[in-house]
Amino acid sequence: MNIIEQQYEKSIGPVLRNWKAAPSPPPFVFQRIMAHIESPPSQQVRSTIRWLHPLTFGLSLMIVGVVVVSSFNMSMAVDRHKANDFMESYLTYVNQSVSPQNEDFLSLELKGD
Amino acid sequence: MLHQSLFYTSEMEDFEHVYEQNKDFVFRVVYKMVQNQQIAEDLVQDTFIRVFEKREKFQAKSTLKTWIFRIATHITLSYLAREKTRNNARFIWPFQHDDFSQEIESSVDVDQLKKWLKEVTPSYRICLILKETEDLSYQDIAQTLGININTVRSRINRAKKQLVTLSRRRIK
Repeated sequence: MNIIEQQYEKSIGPVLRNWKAAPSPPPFVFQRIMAHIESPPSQQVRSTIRWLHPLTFGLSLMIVGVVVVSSFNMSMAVDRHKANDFMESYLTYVNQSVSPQNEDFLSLELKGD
Repeated sequence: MLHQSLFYTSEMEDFEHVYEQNKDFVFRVVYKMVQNQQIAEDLVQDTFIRVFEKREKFQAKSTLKTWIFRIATHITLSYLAREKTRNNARFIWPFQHDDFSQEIESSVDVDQLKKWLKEVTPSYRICLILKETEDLSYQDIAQTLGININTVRSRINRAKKQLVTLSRRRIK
């Protein structure tokens, strides 16, 4: 027996061997275990989340895509509408300007001569 | 559906039996490792939940008690490692500077010993507790922890060395 073993056996060993700890867990520990095991909602939620995760990601991506494309289309439609309005008003203006009844047009023609 | 529920009931009864057979041993050792009633209860709870979840993976290579205790050890050592990281605990053993020829105090009380045990490296501590308080053989400890028998011997010696060092520090 080496010196550490001797010193250990002299004081620590016997005390450790006689150490009586709490012998049993209280009954509520088993109740908590059973409550955890028998709780199907948590299991269901867990498995649903496991499957939902890639689906949610895919769906979110699709929704974002649809929103982006439709907003782009809408803005293009608004722009087209505005351009049409502008062209229409411009053509009206030009038609009115080049009309022979327009005095300004006549004066411009004279000045040009 | 009826068959399923019958099977489930029988499985629950089996599980309750397994719990009743092993709870005391698991709780005693886990409590001695963490030295806190509430934490020991939580770790025992985690152990048996894991046992239930992994019940299909149990192979008859070892006894059920050994398999359950291996799960308990894994959970307890993981908890202690997390605690160590959280507390940023760092303890250096200055063995090379210790003079073991010096006598140690002959009277040690349990409370003092519990304090020292908490400072012993957890993987050494579990071997010493199984040997000294549960009276398991080296072979049983090796099988329970899934390690080599020589590793068990050396870990127990190191645990004793650490305890003797700690007891000598008190005297200085």
